[in-house]
Amino acid sequence: MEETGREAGRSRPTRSKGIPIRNGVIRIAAIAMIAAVALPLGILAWREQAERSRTLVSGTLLPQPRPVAEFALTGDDGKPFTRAGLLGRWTVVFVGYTHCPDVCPTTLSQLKAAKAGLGPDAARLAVLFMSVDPERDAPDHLGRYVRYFDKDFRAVTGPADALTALGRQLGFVFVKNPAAEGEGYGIDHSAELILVDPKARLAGYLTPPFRAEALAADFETILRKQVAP
Amino acid sequence: MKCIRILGGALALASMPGHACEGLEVSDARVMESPPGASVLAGFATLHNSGNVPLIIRRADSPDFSAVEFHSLVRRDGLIRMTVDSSLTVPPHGTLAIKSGERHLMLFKPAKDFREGDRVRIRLFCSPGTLELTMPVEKSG
Repeated sequence: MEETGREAGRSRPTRSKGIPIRNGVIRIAAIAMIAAVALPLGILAWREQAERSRTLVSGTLLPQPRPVAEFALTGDDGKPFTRAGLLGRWTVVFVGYTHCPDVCPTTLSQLKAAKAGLGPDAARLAVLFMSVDPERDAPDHLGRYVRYFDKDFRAVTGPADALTALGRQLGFVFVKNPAAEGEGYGIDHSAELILVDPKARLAGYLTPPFRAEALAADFETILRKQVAP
Repeated sequence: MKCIRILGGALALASMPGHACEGLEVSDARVMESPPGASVLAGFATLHNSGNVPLIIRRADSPDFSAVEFHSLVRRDGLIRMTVDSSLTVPPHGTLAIKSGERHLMLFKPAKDFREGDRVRIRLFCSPGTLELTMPVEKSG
């Protein structure tokens, strides 16, 4: 401490008088004491902050999750699928349609691989394929389609106006596009994965291009999150 | 000058009917296995043109599908949009990659559920001539 005081006072012209040295010692001691208390507190606060604003590798979490209002769609079992179907687990929503030959199967394969990387935690995450092509995607066809990728995947669809309304809440859009196919039509659709928390609130988005490893890391992140009331 | 040469080349080729897409080499051709009952499949391949003139593929068909189209994907304003291309052009001494996320051969209404290990036949119609491909079905991922 004495050493430090002298060190600290060295640059001062009044060093020989000694008083500034004592002042220096006191000052250093005070700084040390304050630091001893403040630093761990700071580290704690910083850690908490980092935990809270933990960013996702392939997307973003909303600062404040947004509640999803009631909606009425049909599940792949033919039964009504409502807001209650989003409660109790994290849900990853992927918007697409089965006539989409490249992006949709590729993304579903990546989701399967990412989910497999979660181990036992995978049970806490639901993957929901939302078909925006109710004309061609009957519920039983959707069920067979998604379970080819993973036996736990679920699919849902419904009237175009119900899908549009839910899209406004969850932030996805889809547009029928007759130019996409010589025979039939395509549907331009949002490519993001939508994250819904266990309280049925919109929590964030993952944006393409996707990689299975990055998706798995992000799923681990959201599953670790404390879901605030 | 270049224009004239390309025209000349095209004319020279046009006078050889029945030729199998002069200069076209196809590698890495595959069709992705899809869920049972899928009404469309995607085919991918890398096309290389070893010739001095652009190689144009005007259409494609297959005995295993009701129709084959050339599709490309465009991402704009957060939307994925599929568009139909009326033809494919492989540049001279160049490559056209028909690859996932960018382009695919859109294969409509498969004659059956194709599984991994099956083969599908695709015919490419160039100007002039045709090229018959056999594409293996593979699992994605």
